[in-house]
Amino acid sequence: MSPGEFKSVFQRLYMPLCMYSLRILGSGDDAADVVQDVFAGVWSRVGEGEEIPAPGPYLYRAVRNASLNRLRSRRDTVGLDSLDEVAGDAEVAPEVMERAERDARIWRAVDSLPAKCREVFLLSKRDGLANKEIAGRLGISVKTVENQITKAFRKLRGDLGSLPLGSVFFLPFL
Amino acid sequence: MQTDNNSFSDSVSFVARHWRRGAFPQREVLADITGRRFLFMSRRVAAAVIAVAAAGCAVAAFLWYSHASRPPEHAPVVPREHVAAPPPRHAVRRIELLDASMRQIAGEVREVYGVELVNLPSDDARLTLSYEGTADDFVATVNDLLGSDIRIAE
Repeated sequence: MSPGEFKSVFQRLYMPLCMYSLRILGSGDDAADVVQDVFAGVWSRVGEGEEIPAPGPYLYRAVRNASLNRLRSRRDTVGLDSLDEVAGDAEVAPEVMERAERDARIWRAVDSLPAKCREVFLLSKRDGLANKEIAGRLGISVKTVENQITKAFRKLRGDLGSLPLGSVFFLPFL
Repeated sequence: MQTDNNSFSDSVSFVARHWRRGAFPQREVLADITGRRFLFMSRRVAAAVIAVAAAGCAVAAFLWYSHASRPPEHAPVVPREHVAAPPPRHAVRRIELLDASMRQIAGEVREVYGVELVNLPSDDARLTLSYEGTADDFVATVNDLLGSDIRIAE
């Protein structure tokens, strides 16, 4: 793998791998550390001229194993039994990788939302506030809140790809 | 479709729960990993940085040379031996490139330094650069910028 190929793989998989690790660890800082360490390991192998035949599946396995190791080192065993993930050489399931890609695209879409729209979206989806509560907190009308949420979901859906039939009807209720 | 909506909703809830501004700074992480913060700068920014650094080095070198070559007072004048100029490859020369292709870069290097380049990448990379240094240093800098392995023919 050349430095140029490494850069290409990094740019394509960094965010999905962070999302994947975040699902396991529940901590953005820990996930960022794990993914950076994994890529640093690959980079040193690139420097030694080693080939990595299928970097995508390899990276997902490496991030899974590193994330589970970190979970154990935190003595956070409560969640381990409920995890779908098992460390080792087993491949990460395709649907798990698809979910990581989807999470990454939505994360980037939230990044790109206008500040006010994002604030309304987070108050609704993260904090679970009702539209009326959001309107009262921000000093705007309920209608404006609904419009901002619809705008946010249109952006999130749009960045994922074409809207499935009928989904526009469901947007305000999500 | 219902499965798609469930998956979408799950991802939205997950992201909303964890989203934080600047949480995963991709560009900075890549620079930290590779230890080469300047490699992935835009070529124009990299060229500007190199030009400023080269200009600063040239000014410092000129000032040092001016000071060092001033003869001490009352010192006898000693005829200087004729020192042959270094071959162009090892001479500090200025080379200017403006959106140059690989072929143009090779031609410019031949003209300025009198050497041939080999192992040029076959992609469409183009370079805008103002550089002052030897041929070997120039080639090393271009390889750093483009991730290539260009060499000077022996």
